[in-house]
Amino acid sequence: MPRPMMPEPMTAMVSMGTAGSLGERPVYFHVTSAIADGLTVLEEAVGPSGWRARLRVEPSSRVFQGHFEGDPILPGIAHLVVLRHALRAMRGRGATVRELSSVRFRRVVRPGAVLEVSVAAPDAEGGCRFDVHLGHAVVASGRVRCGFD
Amino acid sequence: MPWWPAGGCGVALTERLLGEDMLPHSGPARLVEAVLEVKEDRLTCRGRVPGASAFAAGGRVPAVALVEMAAQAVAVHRALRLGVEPSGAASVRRSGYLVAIRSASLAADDVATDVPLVVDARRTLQAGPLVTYEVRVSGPGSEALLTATLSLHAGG
Repeated sequence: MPRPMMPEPMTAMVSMGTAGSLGERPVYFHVTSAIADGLTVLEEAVGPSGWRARLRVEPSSRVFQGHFEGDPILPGIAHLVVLRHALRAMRGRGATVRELSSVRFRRVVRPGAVLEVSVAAPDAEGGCRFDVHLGHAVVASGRVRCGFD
Repeated sequence: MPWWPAGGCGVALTERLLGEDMLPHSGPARLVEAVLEVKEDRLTCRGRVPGASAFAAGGRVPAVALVEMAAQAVAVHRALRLGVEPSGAASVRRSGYLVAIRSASLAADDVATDVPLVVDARRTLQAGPLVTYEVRVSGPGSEALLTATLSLHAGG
């Protein structure tokens, strides 16, 4: 059974194909084609609980150039670049990755993988948790503290 | 008192350029270029993020890319400890891979590409195949852009 992409209320909004409100709180749907070269956004949503997206790692992505010859593996920093994008989607373009803690890279990601990424809404101190899944497996996770430039 | 050497990019040390086979990373994925100083438990090296990096745009790259640069510096130190010469006298394939960022602090959101940076890495723990380093990446003015504690698995 595939893991649900997002909580039911947000799924309902996706099925309506439009932005709207979840009670008093707005739900936005971003239309981002790619976060970095070859990291294609298939679905992306921001809600009160955080940011979620489904990304395809294109085999043609330049992130695999030199990483590694004959053994292509998604660089771990790709997850961090996605995380930065999520913080900006939630908090605006001034949002930055200020601190990271307890970040684990658990599995390698190969070309063609479809990743599901969730980043919780930052708390009062700017801290939040993030997880990257490949199917049921966690490939990366950790905590970030968001800053503002 | 910081453990890293003073001087940052301005420090006058003898460079030893890395050979092609010193790291498995190549082309735009290679962020470490030369070893400046190496000791049993620490390494200072020079790196830069190429403008051709897949993560760069408009001459800038997210500062989180410096985590990769620091991890490559650690891999170089491990390779040197295994007896591989910086000139690439022997091939090292994946002398370690990043498994954890225990902590990291970034001073900027992004950094310029093609600007020489200095990485200082000091080994603080080795437990079986797991090795932990404290790292610092400094900018052209010796300012700290990244300080972090990284853990790598020796691979194999």
